[in-house]
Amino acid sequence: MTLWLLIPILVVVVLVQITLLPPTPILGLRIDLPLIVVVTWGMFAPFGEAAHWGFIAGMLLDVASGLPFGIHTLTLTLIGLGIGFGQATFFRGNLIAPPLAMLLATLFDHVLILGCLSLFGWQIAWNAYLMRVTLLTALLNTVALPFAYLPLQWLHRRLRPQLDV
Amino acid sequence: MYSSNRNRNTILVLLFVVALLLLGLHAAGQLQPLENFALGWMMPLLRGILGMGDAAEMATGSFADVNALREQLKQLQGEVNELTIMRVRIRELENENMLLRQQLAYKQSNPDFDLLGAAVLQRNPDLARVIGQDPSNLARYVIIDQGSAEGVKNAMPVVTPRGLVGRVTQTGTHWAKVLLITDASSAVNAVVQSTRATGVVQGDVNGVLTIKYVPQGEAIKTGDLILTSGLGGNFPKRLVIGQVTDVHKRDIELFQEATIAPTVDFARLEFVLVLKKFTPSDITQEPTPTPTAAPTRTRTPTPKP
Repeated sequence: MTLWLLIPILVVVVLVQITLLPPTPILGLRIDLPLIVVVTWGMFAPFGEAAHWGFIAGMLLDVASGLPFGIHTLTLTLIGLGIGFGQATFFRGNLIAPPLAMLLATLFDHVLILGCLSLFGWQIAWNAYLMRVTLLTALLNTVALPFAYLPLQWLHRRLRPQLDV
Repeated sequence: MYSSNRNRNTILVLLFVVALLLLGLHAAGQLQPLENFALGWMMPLLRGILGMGDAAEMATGSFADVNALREQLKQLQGEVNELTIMRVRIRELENENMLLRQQLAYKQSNPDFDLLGAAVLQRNPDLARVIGQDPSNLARYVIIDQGSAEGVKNAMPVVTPRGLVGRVTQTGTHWAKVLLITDASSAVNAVVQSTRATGVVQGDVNGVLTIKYVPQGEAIKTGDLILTSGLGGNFPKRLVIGQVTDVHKRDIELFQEATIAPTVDFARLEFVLVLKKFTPSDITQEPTPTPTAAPTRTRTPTPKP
């Protein structure tokens, strides 16, 4: 039930990412809002729910993306799944874990997308992408994490007060 | 409990399989109807969000002086754009004039030939609004609100009055995805306006444009304008791409490179033009206008009364 209630939030997040989100002034890169939301929700929600979120957000992103359809669906589903594994044990009460998870999730997201593109025959400048795009995006996402973490934590407490520690 | 866990795991495996299936179907080219339907469904939402963004922008800039300044800036920017375009046109007209003089001299020296002058660039532009951008930092695409129903097809060039934007890579009924020239996978055959040196303009992961494969012997300097060459027939010739800001020349390399500042502001793309029809033509096949070889001036003798 929670999943269906929260789909509109994902739709808005994806639409904002596609239309309104500007690049940061110095780096010229944009934060990855849907990825941040999926990772953050994975830290609170029961195992598997973030994978559902990742699947839906990924599908919406694929519709707007120029990259092969399914690439964001695959990466965000896997990231949601991976984050879900550490939900009950790793993230609770651990201050280092959320930013670390965000860094790793962004790295995984980009490496998987670039890997898929390689399989599709695209010429990928791995070094340039990893050093000049992936690492900086990972840092940006990590810096932006608290801005998503606090509202989503509040939402989670409202929706599932029984699960909150 | 066990059954619930099993159901949950089954669903997760199913999601993963569906994601893989989507990628496979895309590779097989079977997903176009689904993508068309999905983006068609999202279009009103995208327009709505954009409208809300515009409204919010207006509300935040409600101070009269800020608005006045903004208006003035817009006006000045418009004038700068016009002057830039005019400058390019003048240079092009000068070159064209020189070429026509050469052709005229050729015609006069070969009076038996029946030569016909023809315009080669036929534009049929439709105004399209940019309604979205690629969500990822790994690719540079925009979505426009004109599609196959309006006659937009894959590979059509997309421009603004300031210069080249990119080309259409995917079309739906009322939308199209445009690969920007700043994307790392984009390559455009180009020519340096002043010297007619040829090269290939490529984007990179940070969206920086570079003209590559310019032979070492060719002169290229900061401030030179880079235009499309028309080679390959993918783009019309003489579309402005940008201006050289930095030249990288090393004697040990076969080619030189130069960084280009695009004339189009890709961060503020709103309206673009799709070139639905043009006659492919190669600028590099034209004779190079050499100012030193001045064309012979011929004058028709005035009949004496």
